[in-house]
Amino acid sequence: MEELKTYFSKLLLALLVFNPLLPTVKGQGNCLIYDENSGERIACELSYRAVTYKQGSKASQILFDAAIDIGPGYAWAYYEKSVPYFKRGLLKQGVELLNKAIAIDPESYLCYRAYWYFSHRSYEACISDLERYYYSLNGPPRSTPGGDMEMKMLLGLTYAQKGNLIKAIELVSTAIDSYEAQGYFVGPFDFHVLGILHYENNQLTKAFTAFEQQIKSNENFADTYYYMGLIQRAQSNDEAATKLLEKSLSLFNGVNGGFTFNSFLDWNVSKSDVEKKL
Amino acid sequence: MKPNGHLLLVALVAWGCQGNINETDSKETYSHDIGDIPFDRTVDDPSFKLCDSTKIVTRRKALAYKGDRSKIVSACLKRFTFKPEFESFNGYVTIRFIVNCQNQAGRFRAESLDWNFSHKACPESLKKHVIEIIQNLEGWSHAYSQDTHLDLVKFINFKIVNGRIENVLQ
Repeated sequence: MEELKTYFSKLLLALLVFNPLLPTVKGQGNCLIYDENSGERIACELSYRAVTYKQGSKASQILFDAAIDIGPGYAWAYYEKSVPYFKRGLLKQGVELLNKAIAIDPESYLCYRAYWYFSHRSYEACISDLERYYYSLNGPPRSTPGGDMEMKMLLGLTYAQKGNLIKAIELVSTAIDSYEAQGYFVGPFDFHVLGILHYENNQLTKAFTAFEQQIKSNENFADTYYYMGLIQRAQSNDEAATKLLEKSLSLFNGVNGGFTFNSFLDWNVSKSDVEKKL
Repeated sequence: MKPNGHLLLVALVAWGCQGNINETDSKETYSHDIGDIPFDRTVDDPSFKLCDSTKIVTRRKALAYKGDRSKIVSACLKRFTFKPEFESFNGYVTIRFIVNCQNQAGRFRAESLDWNFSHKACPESLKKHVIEIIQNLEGWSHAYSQDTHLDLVKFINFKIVNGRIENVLQ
């Protein structure tokens, strides 16, 4: 069997290198860290080949399966193969693949599993993965797959969803303060998250301050104005509340350069939420 | 010694098939896309037709719903009726289905999972009920691209706590 694998490995490498019909393999440099002709090297080459095809397509799946067959210790193939399964609602198949990647390289892939647990509101599973990543593995800041937030924002929201607001506020505010020193950056929704947590904890002045900070860096985000409007209303400033809610409403459906974003669990805002408050 | 089937397939892909491989290439079945829901005569309505089964879209944002997506959530919650037999179930019921180019939903597939996305048995009547809820949703606006009407695979994940819907996730 080993001889056969070697033969096919060489055949495949020859195909990869010499077939002019194929698109250029991107990122091959990463594969050079593995020994030539090793299972991982071939798996890496095949996986980079796979991602040149449409995600979830037959061609990409065949290539990932071949990569996994020949280099079962190469974690990225499992991870990358899992992505379209999650996107298409095939959660069981997706997590089975991702679990294999995590077994090989937890630091690289735990956050991705946590992201999907978060997205489907599996709070304990999300907390378990992220606490393992940050506190057992001492992982550095890591953004969500879309790059919208650092994973500690998700962990904070998940703590809050479980009713642990003090822990959530402590985590998120400390994270925001420490990002720069860690060579990271304050993200486009971080102060919005902090504002939500203070708002939920009935710290309205602190919440308003965080939302004002948010607007300084992200003035077209509809959700922030909605919460500011709710705070003004709670403080009996009806005129200011109405203005803020109208501003929020004007930023839905992509008009006036505005946008909304659904990654805040129970604190997501829809256009109809705003309309109901006006 | 038996050749590795995946590697033989890779060779076919690599020789320039560019993804257009005949499904008979391998004993192992590969669909055009992993999200495809092929017709199953034992469960599917034969009158539910697709415009083009080879061009099924999977992009979530390509499908619209009258009002906005939050209307799907409110409609599902409104139409859910709790039954005592549901109560012991905690986990997910995930429904995958196709919205065809005529704004109809069909080819429903249900799966029940625990909080770690592993299989977990749930009452068949619960699966049937959430499928019925989706079947009765009216307001789909099918996928459309470059003057072509398209079919789309969608999923809705119901988070169920003590037999009741806690969240409708899309």
